[in-house]
Amino acid sequence: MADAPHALRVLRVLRPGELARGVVTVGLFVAGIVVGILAYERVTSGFDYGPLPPKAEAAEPPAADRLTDLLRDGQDAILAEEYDGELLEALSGALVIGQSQGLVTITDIRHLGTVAEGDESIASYLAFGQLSNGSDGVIAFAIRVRGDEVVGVN
Amino acid sequence: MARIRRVVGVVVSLAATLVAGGVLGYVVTSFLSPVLPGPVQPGNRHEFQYTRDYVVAIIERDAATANALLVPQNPATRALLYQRFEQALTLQPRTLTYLGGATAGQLGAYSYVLGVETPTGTLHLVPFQLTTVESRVLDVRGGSLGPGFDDG
Repeated sequence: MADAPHALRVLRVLRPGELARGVVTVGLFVAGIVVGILAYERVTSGFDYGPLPPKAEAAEPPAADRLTDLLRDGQDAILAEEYDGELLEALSGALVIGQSQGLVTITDIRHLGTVAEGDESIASYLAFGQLSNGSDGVIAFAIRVRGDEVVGVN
Repeated sequence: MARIRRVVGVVVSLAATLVAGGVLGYVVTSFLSPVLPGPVQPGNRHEFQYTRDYVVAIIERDAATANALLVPQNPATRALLYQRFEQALTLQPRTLTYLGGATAGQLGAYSYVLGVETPTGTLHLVPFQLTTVESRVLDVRGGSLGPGFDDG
């Protein structure tokens, strides 16, 4: 706020021509930004979905967020306590590629996005880590949440 | 002559300002739009044509296209892949949402959610996860309509 009188003094010493030039420059710059945003919208909206359009995204369900946090932090005791065997089996199976290559260490889990219909959501994640053969790997998995409860993992 | 040169200089300067604003608007929007809520922006998510072609081939039961995009596997393994989606594909596909993916080492992992509609008009969500290697599908998981699905 202390700079306001200083700014006014600067404006007073500017000649009308300079002031107008400044206004035009700022106006053109702002107009350019608007044109850039519109151009981006136009370029990215041309994707051909065919007969299967996408659904709008939803917020990440807290229940799925908690499950993936526990998984990333290696909280196996809490996982065993809070989730039933069927769900843990599905989760374990989701971290395996094909018949045998599984993630043995998880270094990071990233939320990709969520789609919702009614009270049901599918939250998708990527798990990064090391595969059983020692190489780096990534696996996508999805968590189904109904209400505020995790009901399935794929 | 000097006057023309001065006018040209002013016009170039104004055009440069407009272009600079345009570039800034475009770049900032491209960085911000993936993290903003709203419709899916596939352009920001680098969806590969072959992963979409594979998912669409599964939905349309186009085995020839699906097999061409798949890492060579024996018929029993391929049959298992199709079987995972059998129940979901008895319903009418309505939406297909690509949620993104990434690569690590030679592997790629990509996620889709299919929306299928029952005869009563209820939409159910079906996850699809692809694992790829060298632009071919190595494994596909998902297909579940969720527990308690009763065709209604």
